[in-house]
Amino acid sequence: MNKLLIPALLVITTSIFMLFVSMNRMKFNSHSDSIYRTIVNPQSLSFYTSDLAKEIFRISPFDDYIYIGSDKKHMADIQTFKRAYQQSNEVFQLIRRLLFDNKHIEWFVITDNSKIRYEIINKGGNGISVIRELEKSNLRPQFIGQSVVICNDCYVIDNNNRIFFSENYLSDRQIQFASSGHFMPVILSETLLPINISTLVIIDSNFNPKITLPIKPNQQILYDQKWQLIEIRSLLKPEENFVEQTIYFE
Amino acid sequence: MLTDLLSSVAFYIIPILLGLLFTRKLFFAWVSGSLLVYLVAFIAYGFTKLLFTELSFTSLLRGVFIFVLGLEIILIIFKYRSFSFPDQLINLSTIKKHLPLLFLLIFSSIIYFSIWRSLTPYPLHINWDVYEHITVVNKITDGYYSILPSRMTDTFTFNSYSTLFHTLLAYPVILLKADVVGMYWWLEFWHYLLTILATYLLTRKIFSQEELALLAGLISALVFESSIVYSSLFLLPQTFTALLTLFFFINILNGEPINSFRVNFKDILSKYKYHFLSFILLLLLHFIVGALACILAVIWWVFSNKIISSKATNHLLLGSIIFIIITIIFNLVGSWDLTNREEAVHFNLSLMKKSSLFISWYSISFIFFFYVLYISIRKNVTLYQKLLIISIIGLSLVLAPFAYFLKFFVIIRYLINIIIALGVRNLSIGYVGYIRSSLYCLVAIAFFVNFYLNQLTFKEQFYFKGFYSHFSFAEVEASEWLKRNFNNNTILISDPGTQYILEALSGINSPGGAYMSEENRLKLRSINTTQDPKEIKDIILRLKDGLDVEKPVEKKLFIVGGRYFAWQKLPEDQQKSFYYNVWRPHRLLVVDQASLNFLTNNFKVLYQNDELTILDI
Repeated sequence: MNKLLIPALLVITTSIFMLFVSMNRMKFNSHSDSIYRTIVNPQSLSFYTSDLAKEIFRISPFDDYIYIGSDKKHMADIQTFKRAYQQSNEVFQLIRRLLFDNKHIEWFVITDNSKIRYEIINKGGNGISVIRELEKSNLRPQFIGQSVVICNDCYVIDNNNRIFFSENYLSDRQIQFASSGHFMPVILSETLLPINISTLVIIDSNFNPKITLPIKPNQQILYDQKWQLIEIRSLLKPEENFVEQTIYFE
Repeated sequence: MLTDLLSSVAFYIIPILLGLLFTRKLFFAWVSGSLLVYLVAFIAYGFTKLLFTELSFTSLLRGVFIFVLGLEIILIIFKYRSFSFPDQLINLSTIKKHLPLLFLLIFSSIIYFSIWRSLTPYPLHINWDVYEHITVVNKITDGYYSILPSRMTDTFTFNSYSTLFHTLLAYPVILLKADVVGMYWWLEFWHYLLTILATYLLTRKIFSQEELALLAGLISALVFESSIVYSSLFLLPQTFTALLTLFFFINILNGEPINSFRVNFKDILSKYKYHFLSFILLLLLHFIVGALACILAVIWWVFSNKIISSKATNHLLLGSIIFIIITIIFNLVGSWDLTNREEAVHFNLSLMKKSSLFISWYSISFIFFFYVLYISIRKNVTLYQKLLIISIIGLSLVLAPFAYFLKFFVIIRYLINIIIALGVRNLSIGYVGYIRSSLYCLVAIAFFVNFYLNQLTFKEQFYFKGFYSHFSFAEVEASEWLKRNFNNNTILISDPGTQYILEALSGINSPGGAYMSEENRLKLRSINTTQDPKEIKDIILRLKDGLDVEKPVEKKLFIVGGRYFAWQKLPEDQQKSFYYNVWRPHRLLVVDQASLNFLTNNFKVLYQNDELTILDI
């Protein structure tokens, strides 16, 4: 009986291992594009260069903000955070991707008072859409601060060719960098950026642009150079519970 | 699109029609017809250069060809008038007999269009080497001709093949006035189907088992060598040579076995004249892969004629295993680039890297290969051993520590696929039909998933505006405009990638295409460091084409766009290298807009779309 079973078992086992090896080698716990890869971490979504050599930016509920009246707090913090997970495990995500060619990630964060859904959708043309949705929440924020933590050696410039520095962290090297790139340095005494900005471009120390953030007219921008955190504060309409942000990779 | 489709069919049919005058065996007809096509092209070129200098080469070629083809068709009808063609076609039992093959080809076509070509519609391409071949075809249709591609365009800095492949491509373009880019899109589909057909037919010929042939064909459809090899999904001289080698093997098996070694040279020539012609064809299609093909064909012929005893086969198998072990150990000694070409170092892969590639292409299905090796030794199955000997010797070459040797896998992959199918079948043969089918389905699913992920990983680097492609529709539009407004007295200047693609799409020359010389690359790079329009103009005017075959240049066009600015941002060592290119279109960035504005303010804009701008220098 065993002799009869062994060949079939060998075929079945080899086929299953083939599937396992294929899926494991071509990791889709991220979704990937030609110039970036997304990695889902326990507490953040990180976006790397396509060779995974460098993290370009990350998104996390620990960096995002909600505004309730005059109160500003993170979407999740150590006390309220329970867990984060993808909607389903990696294999299901892969199967869904195989069947529907679905270029997006859904990631959920559970806190004491909310369930926050992050959705990353590849829009094509190097752009992604980041949706932050308060799926189940007893909070009614008026604004959501969509935060992006950029790479340590990156700089922030805008469509008017200005480069932004915090006065607390200004250095000669940064001034020299601004001069070499023919940018106009703007020294910030607080974190709020000027209002007439339609685009932010994040560049690295070699002047290579990494990402572009389109800014809507009614959005406020805050930049905390200490944490390399850019917060784009968006009004949350009463009937809506989500905000959408577009990011372009360069 | 329809003309391109018909032209792609004509690529295969024309040589067959010519060759049918000499032999009824389809493959040998194709071989002799192709060589005849090549000969006619050379004679026509000679005539236009020496005797009828007012006649254009392509007009003469078209005229001669239509005349010869017409004559051939009349002679063929006359010769084969007793051939009862219709009866054989509508015979129900014949159709039923080929139903599995029909199913395989339909299934493969669905895979091809729904997965491989899903976001690469007509006429987009993701085969980077295609453009240099299209450039040579454009040169032929412009009236230039030579036996070597490097004598026709400086896009080629090295000759691995003659212009036979390009001549065969040029014929349908000349006759039917097709667009070569569009024709090539269809040709790659037919090539894919033919690789599956060849695997199926060869397997059925060797083993006389329909089920096994089907399985081998299926595996062949679902294996994509996504680096250097590209056997089934890319039509290139080497992949085409490999495909023809397989049909050659089939024809060798179809031949009469030799009865005696007492034959004279005249008899050998008579019996094997088409085999010798096949050798010539394979060598002309690719000097190196063709040489390997010829050697393997000789070995194949020796094995098929049962010249070697069973005991000798055992020893040969052992010898081949020792040979591959030695090759693997040899990797520890060192590795050799073999040429001075800068790109050679990137094609000199370590054993680990090659192994990693095999796992990407096959996952761990090599287990079935080892199973066949095991049973061939244990049960002393001579037929399996012969197949394994050729495969293992071929694999030894593939794994050898020399640059470019991985390319030899382009032929060996067919035998590997057959052996893997053989392993699956041998393990499944003891079970009833529905269990066996289930096992085959499971294997097929495993191969399918691996294929899907592998091709997706390969294609993703070319993603741009919803498509996987080296070029965008905006670049196609720009090429159409160039084709309409300029001739071959014009030269295009841009980054190597843009030059390479636009030269192929428009037929307008560039200095070296993707193989722009280092000197020109450094000149182009230096544009970045100056804000003086006169200096920029001077730099561009000093960029020269490497070949004298072109007519004197009347106009130089400077093309800038997202891809150009992306190239300008590369580190210098990558800019100088042939191995690095900007493989896909890029959006024009905010930071590039200032540079573009500077150029458009200082030079005349001839054409502009949202991706690139063409300036008059």
